[in-house]
Amino acid sequence: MQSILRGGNRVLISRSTDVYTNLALERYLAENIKHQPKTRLLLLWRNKPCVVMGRYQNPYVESDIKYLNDKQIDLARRYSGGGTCYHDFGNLNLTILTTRQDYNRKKNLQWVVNTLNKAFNLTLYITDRDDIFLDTYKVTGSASRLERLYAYHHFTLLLRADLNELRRSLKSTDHMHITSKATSSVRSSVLNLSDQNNSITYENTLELLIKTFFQWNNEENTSNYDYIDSLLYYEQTKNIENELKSKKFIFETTPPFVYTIENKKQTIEITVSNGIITDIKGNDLINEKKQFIGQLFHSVYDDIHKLKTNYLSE
Amino acid sequence: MLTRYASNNAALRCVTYSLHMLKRPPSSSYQAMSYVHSLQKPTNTIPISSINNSILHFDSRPFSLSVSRLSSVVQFKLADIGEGIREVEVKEWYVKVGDQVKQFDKICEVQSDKANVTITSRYDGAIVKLHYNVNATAIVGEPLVDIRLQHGIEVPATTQSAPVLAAPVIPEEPVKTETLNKIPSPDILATPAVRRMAKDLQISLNDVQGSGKDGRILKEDLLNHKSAASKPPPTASPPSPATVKSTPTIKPRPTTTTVADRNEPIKGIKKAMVKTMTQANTVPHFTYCDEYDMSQLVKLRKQLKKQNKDIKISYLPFIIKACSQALLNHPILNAHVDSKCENITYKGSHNIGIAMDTKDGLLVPNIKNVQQLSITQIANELNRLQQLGKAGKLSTDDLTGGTFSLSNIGAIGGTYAVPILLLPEVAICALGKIVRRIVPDEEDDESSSSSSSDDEYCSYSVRSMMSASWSADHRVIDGATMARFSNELKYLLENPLQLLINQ
Repeated sequence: MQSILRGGNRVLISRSTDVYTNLALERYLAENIKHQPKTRLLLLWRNKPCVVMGRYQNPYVESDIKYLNDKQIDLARRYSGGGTCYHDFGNLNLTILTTRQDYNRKKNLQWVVNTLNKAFNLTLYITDRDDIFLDTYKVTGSASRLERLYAYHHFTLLLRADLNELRRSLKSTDHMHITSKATSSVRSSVLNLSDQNNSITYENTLELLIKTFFQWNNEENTSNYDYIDSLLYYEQTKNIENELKSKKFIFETTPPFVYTIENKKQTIEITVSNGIITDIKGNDLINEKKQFIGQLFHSVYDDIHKLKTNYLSE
Repeated sequence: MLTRYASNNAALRCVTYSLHMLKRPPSSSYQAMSYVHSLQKPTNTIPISSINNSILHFDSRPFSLSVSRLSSVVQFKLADIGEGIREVEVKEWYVKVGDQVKQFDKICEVQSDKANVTITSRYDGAIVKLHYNVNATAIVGEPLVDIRLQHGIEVPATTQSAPVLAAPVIPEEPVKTETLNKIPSPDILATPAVRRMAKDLQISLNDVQGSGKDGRILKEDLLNHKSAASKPPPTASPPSPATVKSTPTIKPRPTTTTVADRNEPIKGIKKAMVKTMTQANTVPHFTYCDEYDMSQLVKLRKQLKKQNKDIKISYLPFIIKACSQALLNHPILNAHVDSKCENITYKGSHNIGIAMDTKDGLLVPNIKNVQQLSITQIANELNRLQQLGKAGKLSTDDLTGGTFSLSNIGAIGGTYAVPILLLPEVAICALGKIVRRIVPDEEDDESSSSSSSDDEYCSYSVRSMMSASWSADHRVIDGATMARFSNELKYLLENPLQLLINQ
């Protein structure tokens, strides 16, 4: 079982489609693998529909929380920075894990661009924000995390994702109400690679990437890839997974923000810090103050919404 | 620039030196900072020793240091994150002031666009100051936190990562005992009670050997001292160097009082100079020297002064203009190289910098677009910059954008020197003093070859010679280029009419 932590140029493919499990696995591997200099680990995974936001983002600004709840689309916060993505089975995730010194985002993206352009006759290119674009459409979202001994760069590849769902899920109804210093996503129009070349599928892309990954790293043994069954590693990853699933991590680590509601009568300002409502400012809110202060914002979110409509209806 | 004076060899007309790159690790983050940028930053009083590249050696004499006396506070700078990233946002602090940290403990998390980086501590110690609030922008290479080191001198555990010997600046070494030494030492450890007691007993703490921790003087020491007062003074403690067998003929050391050292932190422009010089030192320089015959220019200047008594013109504007003219044919000398020496930018304008000793120290303001200016215009610009320099009012614009530099050190004195480049430029010149010398005339043709054996009868004249020492970036400039440029400049200076008709 411990062979999963072996270093060297390797490819691991996760069988799980649960975003929390996969993020936990990614972190577990990053922290525990015996990274060898000048080698890379490629982790390939995909998730059932979910929205993944960056470490210091605000979920309310980045997505439609209510819609996610209704459609049972998972919401996760990852450990790396950057913006918010929508994942589903048409979206392939790649993580390249190396030692801190070998971290090189551009090289990783260059490998993908060269491989896909050659195999599928595309004209992908890399922007200076380290995104992969096809014409004016974004096809990947990247983020990285650098620790003392290791670093990883992960990015998504839109193959055949449901772009309508993507747009709907990432459409925030609250962003105009919120002022904060959280990282905000830089939004771009997106495109599936299969829209450009209909022969592209998850399976053939996977195969292609695995083969060229080894070539890129000058590894002769091109069959050194393994499927990971996350259940086998549940003991090791459960703590991380639990943290990722917890409302605490998802909602309460949001950087402080102020949620403002405006109506004919007054402007209400709700200050939230560490997920807790610490203050409400407004003209006549005595009852509301008692009700809300000290509460977790995400728990009373529906009631807060009612504040908007209640007042508006008057 | 730092100029080192080589010996003047009058017979030597051309000398080429090649400086080997000193074996020092390159600075981790390259910043082509102008002096003005560092002026705008709040300066901290940090000991010089906490700069990355300094390595201090200690002699074998052991001494003990206590944290309270010589505790060194190190400024832990934000290390280069890579990818050319200059600044990041501090997202989360994992420590607060007062916390104890060990090497490799997490200090904070920073974010740059899409990369999150965990910054870990390089030292063991206590957090003294956090330089940024959450969401503030931290600059790579600038202090992130201040850490008071646990031990007086920090020796890094790992060999690879960041060996910074942050040794405290020691104003006076703690005296173990040399009773002849009557230095008033302010750093004697003793509790107030012990001090009081010493006062009552009329014992000078200087005279007492402390037996407590770190040489601390205890009550017992005072009592022992009192009883031992009648006895001969205690000898030096064992670790001191061996005593010398004195022979009767050797005279005793004259009684002197050591003058106290004066310690001052390096701040402001001096600090910027430390930084830029250290950086420039990583570039392999070579120096090429030559002498230019300024006699024609001397004549010209005398003429100008006769025509217009009020004119204030020195040689420098002529030299500057001549350099610009020569640069037209040698554009590589008016270029910038990037820090990794991967790209060379041939700069269009000739923005010639002139090193000045201003009110604030050594600064190099530059005259913009010399290629378009007349000599009079250059003279006026030079004057303007000198006036501003004297008043300490040079602007950022004046101090940045330079492409080529000159140092008229000869105005103060000197002949040959080895100037240090002002990065990212690739060439610099140190101009020596114009000295009148006897120069044998050139042998013009073969007709005089018959008399070549009678050297003492060759003709000579007194000429005004100015030595010039060029330093250039040997990664991109070769000796031949420098020599050709110098020859062209020489031609222009020795034949000023050529300079004037080609303006």
